Amino acid sequence: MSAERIYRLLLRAYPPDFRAEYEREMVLLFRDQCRESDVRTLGFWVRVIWDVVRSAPALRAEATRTVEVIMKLAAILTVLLGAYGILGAMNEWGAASQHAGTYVLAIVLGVAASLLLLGTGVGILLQKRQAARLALVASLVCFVAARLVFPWMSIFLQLIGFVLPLGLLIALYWPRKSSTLGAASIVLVGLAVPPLGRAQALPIGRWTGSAGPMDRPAAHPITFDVTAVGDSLQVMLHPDRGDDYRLDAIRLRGDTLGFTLLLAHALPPGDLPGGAHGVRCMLLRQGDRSYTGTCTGPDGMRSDLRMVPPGSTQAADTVRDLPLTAAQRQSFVGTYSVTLPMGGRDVLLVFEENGLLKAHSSHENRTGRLLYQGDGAFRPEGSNFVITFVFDSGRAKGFTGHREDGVMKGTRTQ
Amino acid sequence: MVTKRRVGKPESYLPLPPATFHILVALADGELHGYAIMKGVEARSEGSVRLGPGTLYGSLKRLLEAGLVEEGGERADPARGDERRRYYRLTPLGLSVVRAEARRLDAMVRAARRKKLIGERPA
Repeated sequence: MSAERIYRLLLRAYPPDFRAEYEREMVLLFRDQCRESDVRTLGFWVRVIWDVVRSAPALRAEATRTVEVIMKLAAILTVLLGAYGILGAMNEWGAASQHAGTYVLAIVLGVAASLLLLGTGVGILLQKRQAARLALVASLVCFVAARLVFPWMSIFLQLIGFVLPLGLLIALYWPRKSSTLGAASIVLVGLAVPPLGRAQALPIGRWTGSAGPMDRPAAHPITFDVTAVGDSLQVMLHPDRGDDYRLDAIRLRGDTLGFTLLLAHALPPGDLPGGAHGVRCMLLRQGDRSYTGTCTGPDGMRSDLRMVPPGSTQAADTVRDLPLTAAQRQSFVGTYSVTLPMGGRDVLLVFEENGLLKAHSSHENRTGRLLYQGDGAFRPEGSNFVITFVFDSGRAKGFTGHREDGVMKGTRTQ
Repeated sequence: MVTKRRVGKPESYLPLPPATFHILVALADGELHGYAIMKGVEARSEGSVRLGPGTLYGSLKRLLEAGLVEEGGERADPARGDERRRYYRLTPLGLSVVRAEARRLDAMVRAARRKKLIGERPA
């Protein structure tokens, strides 16, 4: 075996990155040494081996330490953020009565993405770069899927979820040797992430809805135009009369949508904005994908607002689902003795659950939502008739319902 | 060991490990390739410091990361065949650091001399 071959074997003691950078130069230098020394002497090889023994462990320790510190930090960050995101999703799942499947799927995907990120760290430490790259790409796929099924994910979590694996992927592919596959992967992921970030939970298009003072059931129809502008959403509110408004400081978290209304056009100098300018709204997502809630003006005046996304099967102008305040809801809560059209009897229990008014029929043993249509009228969810309440001292004392088979009447008993 | 740190005063890099100091002193003459650095160090130290390839390139790697040395391209050394070799040279920061280390060592030698620890034969 030649001296150079033995030296090349000894060079394996150095870290791979160091060898990739300096192996050729070191072999050249070794050849120079061989030319000027007698390679057959013990002294020559003692010096060569002593040089390797003295320098290789230190370089290996440096390389490992750097990667180790980075991976420890990345692992701690991943675990903390993963736990934060998963706890947040579970919390929202507990608060929301619908979309359980979505939450479960998002949590599973989030756990998978976190585990794959940790696997990447292990792969890097074990110098299994190809396995680490695959784990990173898989974690990105899981995270993208989680983002698609769970569009309420926080911007912070999205940034970490996309940027951390993407950064590690670039670091792993960073070319000491040019890699077409590596470069293409980075470009593809880089191109895919920004549009995904733009994909918002509020569907693009023309939304319908209604707005009105809280104490007066009459609501005015309004429309919203949701458009994508660059990397963000722009939402414009168009009332049936008066000025247009722009939705500012839009915050979508869980089933809650918050924003502030600002006048869409600039006012002449000296003019003070009036109307709904500066009104802060907080809406809750409903089962039919619409949002209902209240808006509070700078003067404390409150009003109801409803937003119905485009393509909704329940258009706002056909079957309404107008918002009710807690006080309004309480005025209907109670037990009603009902006389059915064919002379039968029923007991209707009207109650409030998660801010929604619901009714339970003892006769049919069925519970459903009561959708407010305005003017004291409700449409039981899934039915084609309306019941209209009558009031006494601000409290519902009974109702009348016009069904296809006749009139039903209810009287409050409790 | 010279570690990568924020560029600051040359004194913040001191004291330098002996091998590092010898490499920087060798490069003060101009651009050199690895073997020329090794021979220069050996000659200047009168054979007391012998850098092997691992020690030399390990030190050069750290010096490059610290910004004290930079690569000056690859070319063949006519005296050593036609194989292309990577050349290294001092950066302005590297020159300041090696000067600062030389001043520090000089001050120590003068102090030792004042104490008569060197410069005259012990009784």
